Amino acid sequence: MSAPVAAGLDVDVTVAAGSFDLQMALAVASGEVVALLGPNGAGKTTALRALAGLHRIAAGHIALDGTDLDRRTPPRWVAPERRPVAMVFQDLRLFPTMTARENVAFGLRSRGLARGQARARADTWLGRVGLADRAGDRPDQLSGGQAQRVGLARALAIDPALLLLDEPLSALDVATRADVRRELRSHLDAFAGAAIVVTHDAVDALTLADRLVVLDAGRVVQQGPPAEVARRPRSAWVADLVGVTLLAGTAVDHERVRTEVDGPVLVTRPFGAAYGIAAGAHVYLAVRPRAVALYRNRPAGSPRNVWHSTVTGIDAVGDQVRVQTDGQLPMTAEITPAALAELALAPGDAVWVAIKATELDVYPR
Amino acid sequence: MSLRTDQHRDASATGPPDQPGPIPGTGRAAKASASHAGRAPRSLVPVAAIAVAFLVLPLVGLLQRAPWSDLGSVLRAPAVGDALRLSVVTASASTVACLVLGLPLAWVLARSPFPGRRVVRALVTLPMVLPPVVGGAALLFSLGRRSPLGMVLENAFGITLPFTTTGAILAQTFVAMPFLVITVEGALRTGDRRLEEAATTLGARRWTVLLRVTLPQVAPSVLAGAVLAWARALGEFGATITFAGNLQGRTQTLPLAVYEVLQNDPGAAVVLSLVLVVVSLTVLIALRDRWTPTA
Repeated sequence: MSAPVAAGLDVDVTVAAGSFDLQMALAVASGEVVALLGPNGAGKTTALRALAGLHRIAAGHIALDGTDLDRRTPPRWVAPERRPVAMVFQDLRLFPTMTARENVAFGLRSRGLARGQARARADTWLGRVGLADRAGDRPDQLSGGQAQRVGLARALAIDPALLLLDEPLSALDVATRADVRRELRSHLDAFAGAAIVVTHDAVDALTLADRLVVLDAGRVVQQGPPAEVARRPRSAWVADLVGVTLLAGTAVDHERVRTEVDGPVLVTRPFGAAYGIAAGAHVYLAVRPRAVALYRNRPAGSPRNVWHSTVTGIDAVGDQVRVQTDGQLPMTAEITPAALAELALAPGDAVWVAIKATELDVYPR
Repeated sequence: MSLRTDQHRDASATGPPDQPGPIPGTGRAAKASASHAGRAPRSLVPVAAIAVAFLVLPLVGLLQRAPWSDLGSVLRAPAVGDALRLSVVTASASTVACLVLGLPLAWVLARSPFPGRRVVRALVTLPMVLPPVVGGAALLFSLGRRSPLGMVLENAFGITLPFTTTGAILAQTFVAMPFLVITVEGALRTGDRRLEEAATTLGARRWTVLLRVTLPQVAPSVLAGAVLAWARALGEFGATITFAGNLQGRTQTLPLAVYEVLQNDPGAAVVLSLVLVVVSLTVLIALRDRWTPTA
């Protein structure tokens, strides 16, 4: 994916960002939506600001549709107001003294469109985001979801080649969030340019993006299709985000992994040379909490990975219950409330943890 | 596939992650106890009362000496009418001059880093602390009829500044402009740049950003600075009398008229003073949100 594309964004930059440097290589094709994920301070917003031209790069280049926007050698610089780039800010930044219509028309007017045309286009866009009847309202008269839609309309109205969205849904309450997310998805589907969504919400990332790029401490630590990233996370942060327990280990043979450091050996789904994993290779194991079973008494029968643990915490997650255990390996299990009632577990209780070998997916580290 | 998003959603629901939420214990209760801890010692109260009396007593004296029955006739005296009209005209004209020159200056000082900016800022605010009579004398020496610049103005353009209404406006502008500049510059420097960034990403050039985003944002400060400058110009005495003299109808503004009639007609001086007090109070009330925060 790192080969330069003619239509779309091609980035290979170093950006100084306070205490660390952001180093990122990224190609986003026109029509593609990439989610930039990562913990706070990973450099996500810095990356967006560099793309928008609000932050100069220290080295490398940013090219959009084959035109350099920022390059150190030979030096090229396109000022932010001349870039075909639109940004939806996390805090929206709607102009408080202007109506919704004036906010959306602002970019069009700035780009030289006549007043009447700009207003007509603004009204069209407000209609598309479902706010035709709120065109005359000022931002403080709008709800959070409505303001978010105006911010999106304002960015899309200038017909950018690159759309940047910084945590576009984080300011919204849960109910509104689902609605706006669904609308945003359809606007992104219709959008012809390249789009980058910064988020730290798994649902946002998995539902909005065609591809995920995970940043940590200024480096790209993983990228790939959402399903792949969710299934085989490569960092504790992503694992936590998608709700799996990530274990690092070393392959012992074609179906056994010794967990780090000097932990128990787990029997896994068979892997081996066919998967590019030789004995002694460093590997990851992703354990889905639903694959983890809990027993009051040592289970007999099929599961081959069984150990004794202590319950350390119990949380409700959606309509399921998550039980944290600590023993040979710290492990989170997801069970039904009925199962919890049957086991009658409380923090501090002893419990047997079992994982079927076929549920353990091994992949190279 | 199970997704652990509820926790993240909850965490972000309270606000953007970069803005830490309120820390428990720093709310109203903590604030109240802090103000209690920092309360002034009781022995300071009598001294503070003396200070208040000292500041208010002269106003009481003014009110007590006011010839309430003659109020109408004093205000209708030609010299008073001239002074009132001239004061309003010159103060307003100098406020316009302050805006025309001071706004660009404030903008450059706030937004264009250049070597020696701190020196320029200090020089610009000097008239605020300079005795006005010194300012007037300085204007006289630099723009008077015998000064090089004054001679050029007079010979080449036929413009004479000292002892003219224009001279009075000039003297007031000299004294009042720093008030506008520092008020607006402060707003521009500490102001939120986020909207300007948003405007830039939407394609707005600098002038568009300035006129459509920044100016509306700092408009309250511009208004406050203009009102302050106007009030300062209205009360100007030292620089005006030194540079423009005390000619009725041409340079004799209200403060100068007060000074002149004080010798012969104290009653009229009191009435004129009260006019200035009323104007000052009005300005204070207009600016109350900026200068006396209601805590």
